[in-house]
Amino acid sequence: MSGLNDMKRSMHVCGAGLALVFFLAAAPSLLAQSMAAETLQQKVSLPNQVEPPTPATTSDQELGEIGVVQKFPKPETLTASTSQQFFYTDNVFYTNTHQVGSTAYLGTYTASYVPYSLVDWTPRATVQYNMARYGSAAAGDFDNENLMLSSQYIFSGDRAWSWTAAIDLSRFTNPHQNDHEFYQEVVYDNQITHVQQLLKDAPLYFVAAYDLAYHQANPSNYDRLDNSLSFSLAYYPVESVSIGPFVRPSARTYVTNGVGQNDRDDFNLSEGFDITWKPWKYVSLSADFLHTNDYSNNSGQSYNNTAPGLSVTGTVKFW
Amino acid sequence: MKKPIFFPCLAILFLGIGGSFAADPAATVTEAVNQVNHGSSSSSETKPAPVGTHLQDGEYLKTGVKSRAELELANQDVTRLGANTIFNYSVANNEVDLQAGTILFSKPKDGKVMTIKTAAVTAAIVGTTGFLQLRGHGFVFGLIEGHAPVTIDGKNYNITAGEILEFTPGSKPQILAFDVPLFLKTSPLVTKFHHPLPNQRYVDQEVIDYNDLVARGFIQPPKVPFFLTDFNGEVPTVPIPAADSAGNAQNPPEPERHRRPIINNGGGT
Repeated sequence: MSGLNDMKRSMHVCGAGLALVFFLAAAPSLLAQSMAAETLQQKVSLPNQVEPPTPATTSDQELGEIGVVQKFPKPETLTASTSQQFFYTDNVFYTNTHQVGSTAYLGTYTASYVPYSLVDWTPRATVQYNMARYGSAAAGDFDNENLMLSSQYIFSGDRAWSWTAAIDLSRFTNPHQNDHEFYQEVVYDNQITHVQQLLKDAPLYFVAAYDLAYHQANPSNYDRLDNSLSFSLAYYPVESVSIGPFVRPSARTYVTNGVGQNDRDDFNLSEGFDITWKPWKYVSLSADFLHTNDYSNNSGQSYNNTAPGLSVTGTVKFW
Repeated sequence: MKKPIFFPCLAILFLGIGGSFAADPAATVTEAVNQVNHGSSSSSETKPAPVGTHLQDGEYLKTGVKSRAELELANQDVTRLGANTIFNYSVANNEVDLQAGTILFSKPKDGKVMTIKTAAVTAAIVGTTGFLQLRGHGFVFGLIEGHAPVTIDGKNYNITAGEILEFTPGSKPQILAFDVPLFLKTSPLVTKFHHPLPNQRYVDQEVIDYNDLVARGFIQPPKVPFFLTDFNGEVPTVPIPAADSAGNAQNPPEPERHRRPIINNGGGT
């Protein structure tokens, strides 16, 4: 009897193990090492534009009047999500001096609250916790807490243009040194985003954004002003799958001089692609590839980073 | 002298028990206007179905021109039939079969699933108020409150309150939002019946929510450009990296780096 129980237990363990392996194998990630900044990442909704029905109101003797209206999705009041990312980075510390590569895990837990919204305005408060662990570079491990307040305003009738202003407070701690706080920053961010359906009857979208962000950091030698453009494409071969490349050139001006840093200006260029499959409305699986080149006028500050990753994201929305 | 009293009592008792063994009706007619008939699919005979008529499992209810009827099903669902409608309810399968015409249904939120079926569509109703009209081989399915998955040719569509799904054979089903208060004000299936719907309070709440969305601009009259509600794709915009500075800040100074074997091993420095 106990043998049978042992066999059942080992089958359960084996089954759970297989499920975990399958889960991890199927998982994907969004833009690997940028996840601590995921609070600044916005989702742009992709409206499916068609000819309006004519006539808008039909009258049926049995049903009555059916008046078609235009309904825009209302943001959910509460959203909770988690993203589990597994990736490889060839540059844990973002430096070309003594470059360290490692596999990595990043767990992200996010909750956001929309107290009230209008069709063209969404204020949002978001809290986020990130936990990064590197397989062969434990010195790079960090925990990160974020609080972001943002306001998104859609200012064109076709909903193609939006302006998002955000303040993000972020702190990073070292889990191996009694949660020693080694980095803090406040990001004052302004972003203009444009979304366009490229072909009328095809689910191919173009997204462009201009972003102006000031990072007030501690240590202060990381204070910087970012001027960034980003361009991405999203193609939906089926409704649950999106494929898209992106590129983001960015000019960065470091405003505080310090040891080894004098009037530092960087040109940062990131490019990559993302494939996301949403098999269920609460779950998405992604695979992505991100490559970054940072060219600095201060010798020793340039870096390259390549980070392919897989992640699984679960989201629950209320109201 | 006592025996004659005993036997009638026994007879009444047996009659009562016999009555309780008779099959429960599948549905009861609660309103009937003009031509309303019922019959069995196994027989061509039809009988008038005035208010109070019990329909047995497998029987259909049929309305004529300018006629209407209301049925209370065994599961407390209330179904209203418009003119020229043929409707059948199976208790065994908890399934409504609409063969022609127009119905409005209101199923209490009891957690049990009822299926509404036609030749072209299957809808699973849990606790929902809505309508279905057959138009040749096509149909219009709409929900006033609640939500329901609708299956057409094996593909599922999730319909929520305030949405209609229109299907015409040969074209893709289209989901559109509709004016719920206007429908409630003008539909004979709502205005020409006397009993409240079992989900009336949810219908009332839906109207309140609808008006709130109108006030906040989420519901507007249709205009160009017009957007469909059945596609809600999202694309992430490129994020702004903040972790690079933090990651760089973690970068231990050179002497310290050499004291950390894990980095020496993993990074080969």
